[in-house]
Amino acid sequence: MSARARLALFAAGAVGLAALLAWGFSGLADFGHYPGPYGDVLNRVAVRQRHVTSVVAATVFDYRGFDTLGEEFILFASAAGVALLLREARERDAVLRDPVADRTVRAVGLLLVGPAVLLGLYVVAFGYLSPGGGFQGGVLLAAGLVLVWAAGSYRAYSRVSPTTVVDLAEGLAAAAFPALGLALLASGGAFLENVLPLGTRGSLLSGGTIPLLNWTAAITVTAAVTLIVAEFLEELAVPLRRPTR
Amino acid sequence: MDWLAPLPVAVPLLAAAALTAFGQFAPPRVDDLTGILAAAASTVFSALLLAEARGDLVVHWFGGWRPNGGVALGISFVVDELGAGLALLAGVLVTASLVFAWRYFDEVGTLFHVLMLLFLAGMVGFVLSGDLFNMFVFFEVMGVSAYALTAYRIEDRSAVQGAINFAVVNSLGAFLLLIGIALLYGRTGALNLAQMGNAVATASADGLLVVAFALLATGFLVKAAAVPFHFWLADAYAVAPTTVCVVFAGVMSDLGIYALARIYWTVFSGPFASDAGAVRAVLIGAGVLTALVGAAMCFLQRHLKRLLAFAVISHLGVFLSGVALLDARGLAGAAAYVGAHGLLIGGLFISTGMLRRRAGSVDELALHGRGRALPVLRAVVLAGVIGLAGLPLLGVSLGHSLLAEGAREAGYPWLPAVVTLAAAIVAGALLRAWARVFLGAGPRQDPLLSPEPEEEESVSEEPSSLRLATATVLVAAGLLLPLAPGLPGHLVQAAERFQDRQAYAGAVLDGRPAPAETAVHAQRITLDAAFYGLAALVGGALIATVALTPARRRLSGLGRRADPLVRGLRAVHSGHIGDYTAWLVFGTAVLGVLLSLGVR
Amino acid sequence: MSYLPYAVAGWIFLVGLYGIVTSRNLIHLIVCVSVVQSSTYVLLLTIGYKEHGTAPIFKDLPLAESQRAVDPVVQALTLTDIVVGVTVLALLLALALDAHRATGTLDPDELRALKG
Repeated sequence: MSARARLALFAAGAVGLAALLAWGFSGLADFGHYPGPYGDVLNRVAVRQRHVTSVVAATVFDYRGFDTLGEEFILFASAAGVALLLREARERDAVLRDPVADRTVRAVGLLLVGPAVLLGLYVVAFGYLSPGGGFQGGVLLAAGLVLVWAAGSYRAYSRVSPTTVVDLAEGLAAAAFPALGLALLASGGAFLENVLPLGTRGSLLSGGTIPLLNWTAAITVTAAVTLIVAEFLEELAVPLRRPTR
Repeated sequence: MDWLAPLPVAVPLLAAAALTAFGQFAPPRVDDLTGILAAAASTVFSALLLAEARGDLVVHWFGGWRPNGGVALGISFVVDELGAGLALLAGVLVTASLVFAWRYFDEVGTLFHVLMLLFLAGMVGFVLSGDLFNMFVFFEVMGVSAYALTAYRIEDRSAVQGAINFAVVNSLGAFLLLIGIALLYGRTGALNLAQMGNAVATASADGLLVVAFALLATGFLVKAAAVPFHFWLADAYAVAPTTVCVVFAGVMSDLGIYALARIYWTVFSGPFASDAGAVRAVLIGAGVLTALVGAAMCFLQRHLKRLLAFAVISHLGVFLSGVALLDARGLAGAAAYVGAHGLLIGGLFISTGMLRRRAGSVDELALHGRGRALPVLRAVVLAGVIGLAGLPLLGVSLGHSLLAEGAREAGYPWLPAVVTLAAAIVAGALLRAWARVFLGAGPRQDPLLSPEPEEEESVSEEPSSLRLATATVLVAAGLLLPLAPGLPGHLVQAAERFQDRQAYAGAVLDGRPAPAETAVHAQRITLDAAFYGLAALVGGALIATVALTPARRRLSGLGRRADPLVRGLRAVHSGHIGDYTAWLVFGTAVLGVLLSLGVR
Repeated sequence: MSYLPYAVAGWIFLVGLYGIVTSRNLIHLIVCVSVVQSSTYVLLLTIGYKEHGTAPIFKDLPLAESQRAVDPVVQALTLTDIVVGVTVLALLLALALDAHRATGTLDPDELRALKG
């Protein structure tokens, strides 16, 4: 189709779709008047039932924990997929290009790695007590590792995140979720039932299985994001090739 | 026995994670074996679930969060017979394809098996889930693995392009799903299907419900490749590795149709009850259009996998029509069709893979006569093709039979004839290809057939008996499926239960067991179906003969008049992602407008 | 003004689609897919908002005022949605790299291997 025909087809469809969306949205409650009941019920009971203060984390890792299991494995699939798609033959004597030569930039960058990782760990650790959590903190941790490359050298980055270890970590952490679920199933409960002691509200030791799942999510996310970024970085580390056709 | 429900999903996920962690230390055969064992285990669990679901819906609440006063706090798996059947089919096809792939994907270590297991888990989770957002999550698990697997041959430009088209269009479909989910959540405050159904059961069909249904239907129909959302399927199935195509064609797209049926009956059947006729008309229209466009495009292909892909699209149109009848027999017919079709087309794709390895190509014209030296394969492919066309009593004939009955009951007596026409054209294309490859019939040139995508000649190998055996087993199973004792009656009963919204809600939210079993109908394959099946078969044979012989020249006048149509169809299937997106937007708008006109 | 957030969500959705349809560069196209997805975040969070509401974190908020907190469920859904978006984006970008390596171009108009 010519570009104009395509645009015309799209325009016709877009007008119709816009009208449909407007009509559909008009049936929703006014902005600011959430009618419930799902959210209201959880806000009312979650803290009492699970002794954590962040209801979002309780939802993510307990009430709707099975969604989170699926979500982790989407990330897992993406890491495997990217590794599959960017798997060109790795030339042994490829030139590893370091992105930064300026020493000041390197120094400042490397100095920031520590605080970044620390921030990430904090966000993960307190994720079920205040805003944060395994996913958010995991991304921060992976970003801290990428800083090593951005401010330093690819060689340093690959030493900090060797594929063998990262694969192992990712696999184990991801496996922990369904393994925990199966173990609880085998012991007569439901899949992913929260049976660990609930602890005191507001302290780090609360929530039963929630901190456990929180940390395994963090490790999976860090590992997966690190793997994905590493695959893309390898494209830079190898000399640019001419297209094959 | 509800503890069975998470198993077919959890086991492949665990195996995939374990493979990633430890596969790098283990010898390559361990990867293959782990993959096959995990897939086989999932298959066995799905089979057990199917047996359980015969008695009553199997409901499992994750995290132990049972609903309180009709409000669901957690996520549930709700296993009914049709869902368990699809999960079983998925397991069988993935296991078969992993056996077929033995030793073939070593160069990528564990990655192929990890992605296949994740793909299986995604499909099974999608079909067993009773929570709409959870369905979306598994839809994406299925999707991400599928996109990566499609582009396995990264040095092949058509494989990469096919994967991009697949990924972009399916992702857009998923976003439409999300908006639909958001609308329903805003109205009902729930994500659990049963709870949503209860909340809107007595409501009138207002704008929000119509638009939510239109968006959800579009999202699922993108997966189910209904016209005009089908372009990605022909691209992707033509270029993905054969092992993966077996699963794509055999079960993945059917899941979209299952989901459409599920949300209609569980959520929308209440408010749309008085307008069911309009919904029926719109969806049957989409189904018939898909069946015919798919059949026509199928005939115009010479790349065997792309030919099979369009055959799948045409059949998907038939399944959609069956479900769209909104009738128990129509639904049962679609289910029977899906089962037989999945197995038969899986066998045909494996056969295509074997042709490529043995003769070095999947181009019908280039393979002219090369199949004469492969007598067993010739027989297997012929059996598969006629099973798909409608060999009486075997293969898809049960599906035809039930669908024809359903069509009559629902007031669409002309539907079986249209379905037969589409089936005949597809059969014609398949028989033509079979005859050209395995008998050496017909000319070596055919300007009618589309040359894309170009295939590189690959190294030829002897066909392994393991692979031939896999193809044979699948085709035989597909042919013999309707002979399973009592199957027709069970299917109709399962379909009736599927459509019972209140029993579903009662079982899920209150733990109420289903009411006493309705009598299992004594159901036979009627004489009608044998007629339709034979008509498709004979019609197909005629079309194939005409295509291959000089008799064709006499029809050149007719051909010239059809030329603009053919050129138009070809031009529309441009391979351009911008075009596909424009069609997606246009199609969504049309579907939505038609539904809103009909449902008041 | 209560329709404004919904209108924003709808606008972002359609503008992203426009970008995909008219795109001449795969990377641009893929980012437009991301834009389309972000409209779903806006929609979800808008649905869960409560006037004068506050975050569903009960560290300082007393339990008795739990109804002032906004909906935590849509926040969990949006979190999942974002993760899904990132993963699909990564995969699509990898595919774009492969496309460039195999064909030398990123222009959808030039990717013509699958026609008819």
